[in-house]
This record gives sequence, C-alpha cells and structure tokens, in this order.
Amino acid sequence: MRKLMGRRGCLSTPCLLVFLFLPCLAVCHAGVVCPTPITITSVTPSPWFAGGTYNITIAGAGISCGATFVTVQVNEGAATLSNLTFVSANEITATVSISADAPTETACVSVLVGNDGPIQPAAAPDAQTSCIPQGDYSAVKTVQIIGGCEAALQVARKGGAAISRADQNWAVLEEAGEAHNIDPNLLAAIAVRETGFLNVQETDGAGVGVGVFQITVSPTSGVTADEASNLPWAADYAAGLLASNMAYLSQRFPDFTPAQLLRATAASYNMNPYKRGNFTGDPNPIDKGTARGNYGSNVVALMSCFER
Amino acid sequence: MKRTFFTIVLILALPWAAVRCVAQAEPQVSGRDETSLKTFLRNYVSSPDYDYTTTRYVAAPVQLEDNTTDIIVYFTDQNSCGSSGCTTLILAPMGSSYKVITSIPAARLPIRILDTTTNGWRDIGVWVQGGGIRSGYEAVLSFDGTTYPKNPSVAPARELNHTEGRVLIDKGEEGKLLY
Repeated sequence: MRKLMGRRGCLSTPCLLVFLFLPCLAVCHAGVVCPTPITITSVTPSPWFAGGTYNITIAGAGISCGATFVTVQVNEGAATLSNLTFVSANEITATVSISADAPTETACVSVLVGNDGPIQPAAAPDAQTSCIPQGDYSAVKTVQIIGGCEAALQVARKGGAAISRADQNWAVLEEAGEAHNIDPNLLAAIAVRETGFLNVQETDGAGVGVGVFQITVSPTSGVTADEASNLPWAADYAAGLLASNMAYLSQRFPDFTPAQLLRATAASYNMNPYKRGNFTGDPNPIDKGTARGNYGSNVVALMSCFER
Repeated sequence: MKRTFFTIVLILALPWAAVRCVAQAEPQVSGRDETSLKTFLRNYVSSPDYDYTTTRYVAAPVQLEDNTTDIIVYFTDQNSCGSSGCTTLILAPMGSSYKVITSIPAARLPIRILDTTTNGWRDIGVWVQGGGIRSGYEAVLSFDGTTYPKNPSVAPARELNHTEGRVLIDKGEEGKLLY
C-alpha cells in the first residue's frame, strides 16, 4: 500500500486521502478490468493551504461505473467534501475544505478504490459489487501544502519585502508592545496584513485608513492623519487598542484557550469585538465576519515570519 | 422695471429651490420612529463590559420589500469599528420595535440601495476596503430568503461592477450620539 501511496511515510505523516469506492456492475459485466487507473487531474487553486477550499477533478475510465462513496481525510480526520458532481462518465469534481488546523507540510492525495460505502444520490442507484478489492489504491497525486510564513504571506497577498520593512522597524514595535504588554510579533503581523508595512493612505471609498496600521482618521476617532502616519505613535495606538480588546475578550469569553484568545484579538483589530454577534465565544467562526473571512488566522500565521 | 427683474429672479430661483428641497429631503428617521429606534439600539448595544455611551450611529429608512419601512443603521464610533469598517444593522419593524434581519460586523460607507431585487428584497451595496484589502470596491448583498450576507468581503456577497441605485448613507457621516 505504501508503494502505491507513492510517497514514503505518507500514511505516517499528515496525509490527505481521497477515497473513491467504485462499484461498477456494468463495465465489469462487459469483461473490462474496472476501474482503470483513476487520477486526480487538477487541484485549484494550487498550492493548498490549511483553512482553504479547493476544487478537485478526478478522472478515469473506472468512474463510468458510478462512484458511490467519496470521502476525504486529512491526517486520518475527515475533511469537508461538497459539490460532488459526476461531470461525465470519466470525470468527477468535488470541493474539499481543509480545516485551518490541518498539517501544512507536504501531503499526498490518493484515490482509493473499494467496494463499500453508502450510495450517493448522484451515483448509479443500482450499482452493486466492485471488481476491485476495498483498500486498493489506483492513483496517487502528491500536492504541496505550504505552511508557515510563506503561506501566510500568500494568503495576505503580500511579499517578503513587507517582512524586511517590519524587521527594520523592530525597535518601534518592541517599544509599543512592551508599553501595552502586546507581543511585537502580533503588531508586526497586523501591519504586514494591513499594508505590507507601508505608510499608505486610502484614496478611494471611505478614505479613512491611514498609515502602516491603517488607523481610522475621522472626526469621531479623534486621530489625525499626522498621528496615524507617525509609526511610533501608530504602533503605540495599535498596541493599546489590541490590549484593550484582548482584556475585553478574555473577560467575556474566559473559556478561550490562549491560542483562541490570540486569534480573536487579532481578528478584533479588523472587526470590533463589542457589538453583539461579532464574537460569540465559539472559537471556530471567529474569522467569519473579518476581511476575506481569514483576518485573525492569517495574522496569527504571519506572526511565524517574526519568530526569533 | 424693478418688478420685472424680481419676477425673473423668482422664476429662476424657484426650480433651484425645488431641487434643494428635494435634495434635503433625504429620508431620515424622525419623531416617534426615532424614539423607538433609539430605545431598540440602546438595548442592543448596552453591556456592562465596555463604554457603550459613546456610541454614534446613522439610521436610514428604506423599503427593502413592499409596504414595509426597514432601517439600515451604521455605527460610527470607535468601539463599533475595525479596520474593515463598522458594524451595520439591517432592521425590520416588529410591532412598536424592530428585529435584526442582518448584523454585518464590518462594512464601509457608502451604503446604497440598488435598483435590483433578489427574492423580493432590494439588493444593498456596501463598500469593502481595509483589513488588507487595499483596492476598495462595492459589494452587493442579496437577500437569500432569510437574511443578507454578513460578510461583504466573501461569497455570497460579490463585487459590483455598476448597478443603478441611491446612496442611503454616504461616506464621511459622523453619526449622532445614541445617548
């Protein structure tokens, strides 16, 4: 089986498996070895990121038999699979959602052909036994799941220069962090996510975000554009805001683990924590209302760029 | 001669005055409606855990579906906002008070009511920017039969190219104090 998995140690390392159980009465009865090798022909977008959703296409003559059961496993845990569609006699498409805490090193995708599992409505309702023993793998595709700083930068749509700019201003971040008991890595990560650590001013739309930390400048905020553009002032302001939000969130949701509190605090920079419903205490949808639905988790991931 | 001059001035001024009048008649919540809205919002934001007395808001009445005056509320104070914007409520009348159709944690101004409808409710346009989204855009929020999308930066909300509509709450609005 390991040979068929195509990558040494795949089952013992974090592993993404696509299982296709293919009863194929019609073709088998026709005397054809069924199914013929099945291949995952595309994964989009590529590479994969933990917490992302991806479309996969699986092709092979065996599919004409009618798949009856498809599951996806990440590190032996089931991942969410949806939109299973039988495009043609030779092609299946599906959407796979990889949980945010899935392992992010190299993983493999394999197709398992078997003879078990519940019949999906889209499959041939009268499919019977498979001619391939359960547990056989007919195709293997290895994909790269990128983790750490590189992945976080891609999700943030920022380049490595943003990290360099933050590094060059580390003393400022450190001072602001110390003043408010906030990790300077968190400050740096927020600045990278917001602007790529560039001193910019929004020029269209609401036109209120100013400086590296995109602090809101408006009559009601009490912040001037000069203040927001001044890095030491802005870093101190951002650290104070984060400290205040963190204190509120830890008091309101005492069951948050330190990691969940950190993610919620990061998210609170983008989405205020005070209005009803923005944060519910359920750690899973913390990012639901944030920019691109990934602000908190992305900022936490960006912190890995500054681990020293 | 003098009378003719004043007549001409009057004739010229009348259309201008009419236009100004219409422009200033942008819908606002007032009178008894405002009192009940304030009562609802005070109850909505009150919490022993933070200073909610600094809350500011803008409210715009709008007909999202037939025969009902709904209200879109945009909070503008610091405690109501993050880098992607401020909490926005879509309210429908319920008796003498209101119920929340949708609470959007973070959106930017302007907010527009669009000429298009989905499932019998008017589409809403909000601005999306901040939180790492550098190039802002208008997103359309379409009613799904129960609610509007809560996050304008992800599907099912989608970027709007150009759709006719009317500004309900314009950018730069400071809002008024709730207390």
